[in-house]
Amino acid sequence: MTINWGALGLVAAVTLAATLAIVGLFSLGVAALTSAQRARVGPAGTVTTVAGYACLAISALIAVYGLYLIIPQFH
Amino acid sequence: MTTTLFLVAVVIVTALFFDFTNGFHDSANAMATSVATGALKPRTAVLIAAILNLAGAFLSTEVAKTISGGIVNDAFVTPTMIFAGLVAAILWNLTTWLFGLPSSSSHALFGGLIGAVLVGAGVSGVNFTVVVSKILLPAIMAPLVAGLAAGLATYCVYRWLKSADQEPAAGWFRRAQTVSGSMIALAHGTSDGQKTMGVITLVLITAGYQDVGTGPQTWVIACAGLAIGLGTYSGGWRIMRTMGKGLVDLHSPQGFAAETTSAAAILASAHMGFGLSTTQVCSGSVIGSGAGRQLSKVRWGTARKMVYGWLLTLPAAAIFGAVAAAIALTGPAGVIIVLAALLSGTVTIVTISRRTAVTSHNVTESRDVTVQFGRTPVMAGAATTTPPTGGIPDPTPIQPIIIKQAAVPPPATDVTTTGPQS
Repeated sequence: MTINWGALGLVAAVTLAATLAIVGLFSLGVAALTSAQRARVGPAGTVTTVAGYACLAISALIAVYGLYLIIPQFH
Repeated sequence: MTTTLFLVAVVIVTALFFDFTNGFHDSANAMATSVATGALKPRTAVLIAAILNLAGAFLSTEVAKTISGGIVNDAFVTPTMIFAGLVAAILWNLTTWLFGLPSSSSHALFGGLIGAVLVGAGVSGVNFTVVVSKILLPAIMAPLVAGLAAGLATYCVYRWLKSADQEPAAGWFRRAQTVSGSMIALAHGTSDGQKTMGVITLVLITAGYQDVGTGPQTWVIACAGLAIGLGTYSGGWRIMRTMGKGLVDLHSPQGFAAETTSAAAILASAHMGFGLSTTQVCSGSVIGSGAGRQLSKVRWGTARKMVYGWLLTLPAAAIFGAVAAAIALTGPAGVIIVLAALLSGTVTIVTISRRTAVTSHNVTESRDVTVQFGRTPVMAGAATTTPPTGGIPDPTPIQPIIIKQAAVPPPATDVTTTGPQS
């Protein structure tokens, strides 16, 4: 019986890393956006808003890569 | 030749029926968390999942080349054994659905095939080492991996975002859930839709209706996609209630963490050569997202019953499959008997489910799925927050068959789906 422990470890590691990356970035982005909303005015608010949207965009990009993986016509 | 044609037609219809049960069993995987947190309305959720499942069936070109991935020796497998295996898998899927238990449709199919092949071809037809390495080990690892990832992700969200459950943050997470749930549905369509296509194509080739080495015909792809899509759209609300409400009281950040974990785990396992069951991944994610917030808030009793369901799936489906094969292999009359048994079993289970119906309207109203045989509620989901709609009022005193707890309902709300808790 051959059990592919390497593949199992890889699947576990990738799952963990991808989840933490997406969820982590997304919640940082949401944290930034909601605090910017509270601050509302001033340059600090603008910077936080931009940073927040950047976090959301990066997590969205990782999701798009997932879409690329799902659809075999892309590769 | 007419006998062959009859058998092929029966197998194709049964395979499509299995695909349908596969769909309604697994729509909970993609959408239960979104429905539970209110990110999507129940009907909208299953419509999205159904369309993406259908799309997924057409997208993927990689059709299952073997029926079972080496678990049974495909050289020994005849259309009649496939038929028996499918019947067993359908009946097991319907039974677990009745009790609101998420269980793996692939495991049910493998179990049914194993039982049928054991009867039809003997012990040499089954590769038991592959059973261990492809079913048992992944069944243990899937919920652990998903639970760990979802737990850590949830922990991080609530650590970094103290007001995660409050608007407007919760609104962001609900919107993100729409995306993550859709990813699961699409990935599911590209994998599970292919299985039925593979089965039908192999039967057509075996019977000589299709050339060896050719891919599935367009009508096969369309039928399989439609069957799984319709199944998904019908919702499987009983399972969705257990997944979305029974295990954990989910909030949208948890739902997002759970769905992202599931999507990541499904994609990683599909592309890195270690297959994990979608159902077990998704259940593990939900439990993890509850544990990551507060360990004690997970209803471990429900989780334990779910695990029992997983453990039972393979042997139970194997027994069903063995019995079905023993009857069906006697000839066309046997096939008709098994078909009749499948129909009557389906009607019976659906009738029982109607007594305590779970629909898109009441799916999130309670945590428990109750089952009522006759006038006797055998599996009592005691003290639900709302009485199950459609339940028959019970004029006679309750006479529990199995559980003592049902006679004197405990004040707690946690006597759930499937009977006695130890």
